[in-house]
Amino acid sequence: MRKLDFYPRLALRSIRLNGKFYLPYLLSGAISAAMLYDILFLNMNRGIYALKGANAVQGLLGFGALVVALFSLALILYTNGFLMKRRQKELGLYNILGMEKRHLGRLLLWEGVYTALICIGGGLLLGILLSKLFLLLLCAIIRTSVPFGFEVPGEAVLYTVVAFGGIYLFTFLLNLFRLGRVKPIELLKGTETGEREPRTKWLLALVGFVTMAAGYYLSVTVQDPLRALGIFFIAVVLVIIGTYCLFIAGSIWVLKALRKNKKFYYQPRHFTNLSGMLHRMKRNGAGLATICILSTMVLVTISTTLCLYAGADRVIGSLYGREVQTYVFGGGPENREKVMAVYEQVLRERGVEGRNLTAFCAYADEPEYNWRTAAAPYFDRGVTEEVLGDPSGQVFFTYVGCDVDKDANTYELRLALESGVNDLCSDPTFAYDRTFTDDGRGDRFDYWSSLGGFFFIGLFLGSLFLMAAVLIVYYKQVSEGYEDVRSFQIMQQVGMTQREVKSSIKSQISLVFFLPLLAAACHTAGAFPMTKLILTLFGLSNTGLFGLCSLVTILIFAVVYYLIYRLTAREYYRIVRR
Amino acid sequence: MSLLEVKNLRKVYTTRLGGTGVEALKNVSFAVEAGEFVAIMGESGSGKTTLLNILAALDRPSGGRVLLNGEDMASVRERDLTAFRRDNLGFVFQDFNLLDAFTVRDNIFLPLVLAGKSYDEMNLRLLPLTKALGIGELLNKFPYELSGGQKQRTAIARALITQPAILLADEPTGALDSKASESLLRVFESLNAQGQTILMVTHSVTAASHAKRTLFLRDGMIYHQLYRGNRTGGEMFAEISNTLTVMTSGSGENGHA
Repeated sequence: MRKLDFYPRLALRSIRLNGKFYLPYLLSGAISAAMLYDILFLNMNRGIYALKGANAVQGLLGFGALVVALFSLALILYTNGFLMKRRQKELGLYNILGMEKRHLGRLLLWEGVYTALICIGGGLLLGILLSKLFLLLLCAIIRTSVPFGFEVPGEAVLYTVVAFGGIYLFTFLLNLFRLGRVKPIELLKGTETGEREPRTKWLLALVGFVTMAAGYYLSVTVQDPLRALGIFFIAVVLVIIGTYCLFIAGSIWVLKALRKNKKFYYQPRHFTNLSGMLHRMKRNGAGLATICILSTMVLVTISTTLCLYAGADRVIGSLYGREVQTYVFGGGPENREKVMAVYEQVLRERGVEGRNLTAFCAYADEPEYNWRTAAAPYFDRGVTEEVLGDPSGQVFFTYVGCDVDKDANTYELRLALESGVNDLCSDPTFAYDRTFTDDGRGDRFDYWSSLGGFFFIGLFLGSLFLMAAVLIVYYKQVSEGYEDVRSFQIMQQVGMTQREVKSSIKSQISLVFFLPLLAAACHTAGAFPMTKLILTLFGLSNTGLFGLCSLVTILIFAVVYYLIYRLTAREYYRIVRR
Repeated sequence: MSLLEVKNLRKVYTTRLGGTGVEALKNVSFAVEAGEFVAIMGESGSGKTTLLNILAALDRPSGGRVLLNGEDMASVRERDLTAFRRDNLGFVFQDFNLLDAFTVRDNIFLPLVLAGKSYDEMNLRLLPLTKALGIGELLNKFPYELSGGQKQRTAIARALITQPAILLADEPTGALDSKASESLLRVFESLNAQGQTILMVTHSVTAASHAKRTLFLRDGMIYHQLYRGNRTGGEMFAEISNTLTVMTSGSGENGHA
């Protein structure tokens, strides 16, 4: 009986013993699971299905769920790798005390089982508690009423359990595989390996410079919005490669160059800082680059979706100027009168009063993609007589539209107007290329939903990325703390006051910490011209608004980042001061 | 006046709950003259480390005084203590305590850089020192590329570059093989011959037999002392061994009584 529960108990004990490392691991796992559940919940929520125009949102949520699941896998693998490296010594000790590898495997199995239970169970609980909140937020963003009731869709629970069960099974198998390959002495040494002075990797630094410059160049020079969308992904890949190379190799190159300057190097402040930085960059180059990329993802996602959302009123205003509207392409200026007559007749037949009637002819060859936005200024005035562009040219299109009473059914009105216009078209004297009639009120709502959906997904994924960045930062600080304890003691023995050591460490940490933030802000600024073009595809061409949104996002992110820094730096000092 | 005077030194460690204290040092008095090479011997728990920590100003005594050049170390203010230590004392540790992030040269420079000396002056001091210690070739290497003996020589260079009044060594041969130990002790002897005062704490009889005087510490008190005088290393080794035997068996008799 005792033998049976030995491993479960040992597993629980070692989870508790390694609390400093396990707690963030469990917490991030649970939060990821909660987020997956919530996004699945929203995707499957029947209340949202029933809402008109919510299809676009639902599609976006499905895509978001996929991103959350994949990202959770990457995050959990990363933190698990970190955890295992830290625990090698403990496992090595068990090994030497007589536990065979299959016993260690059993220990790992139980640890995995507990981890999965805690994360999936806790995550589902948290997710269910937060689901209503997310529903309220989503409904507020897409401006619809909140569906009543509280539900826990079985499918969402099932998918979450399956996804995270799979993730934890995979990490367990990976750990087992790793365990099988190491020798006991390596287990025991574990964290102490890899103390070499970094060699300058010229090639890597060069590749970094070139790819980074190419990425920025693409972003700044691209002109065509449709091409920008394709180029965006190429530029993103280039900048990611560049960031990794420069953080890993470029930083060391710069620091070594500084160290060559004897006058600069051999000063109390620079001496310890430069060497410390070199040491840190060697270990953390990749980690810092990851933090930088994640931060950039947060910044770009949130700033663009925020801008889309903030500018939605204008975009929608320009796309659907009136609650019912008709476009007739081609033909001559006489079309305006004819379509207006159709409107008058249909409105009279149905007993609907038309307000803000707007009708005009637009001349000349406007570029295809923004002919709708070009008409926007006319909607504010309700003009019926004016023409757009140079009347000596050709009629590009004719517009007629009006607003109607609140209780009028715009969907049916649109059908009636459409058939009226079709009757007009069957008359051979009516010249035209093509024509369409919009239910502006309904389409406005659809558009709102999809832009709101974008914004919601942006916020949702942005907070997931932020959590990942926080986690990596935390682990980095804590592990460095343990590694620095010795150096800290030696420096005091050799003649540094506690205060000097503290200020030296502080400047190193803050530099290492804020470098990724700085680079992320830089990347966001570099991506600005390109993302601005992509936004015009959504009908948004307000550079000032986008600039403001980016700035606000960066500022808020910087504040959050600083708070994280304060928290983790405190943890670091607590470790080092012992 | 002696270079270092220790008078009626006491150190009591009390547990956190304030129960009965443990007396690590009971009543220790001795003096070290300039130019001496003194070894302090004793088993684990005899109070060696406590004594060294107090001499190094890393710990404060419960009673008694430590005078360096006639100045009472208790009168040095807390925040001047680091500078005081840097200017007057050099340290050599059992496990070298070199920083992996620095080259050998920079490890040696560390105390001087902290004291704000110029690069030229540091270089000037470095050359004769590294020559004497035989590490002139290793200056650009990193600690993990060195052997134990080379690491300890680097640590000695770091301790001596500030030209301290006393070199304090805590089990300097503890992590070295016999060959490296022997050559390190010869370095100590030649440094001493040039006038460097050395105080070494050890429990290796070989190490102690190289010193000019050996103090024996037991249960927090000076039990005995031996002067080397004109004796050879071998004779000194035998003498120290005898003293240790008497000291250890003596404690056994006390235990039976």
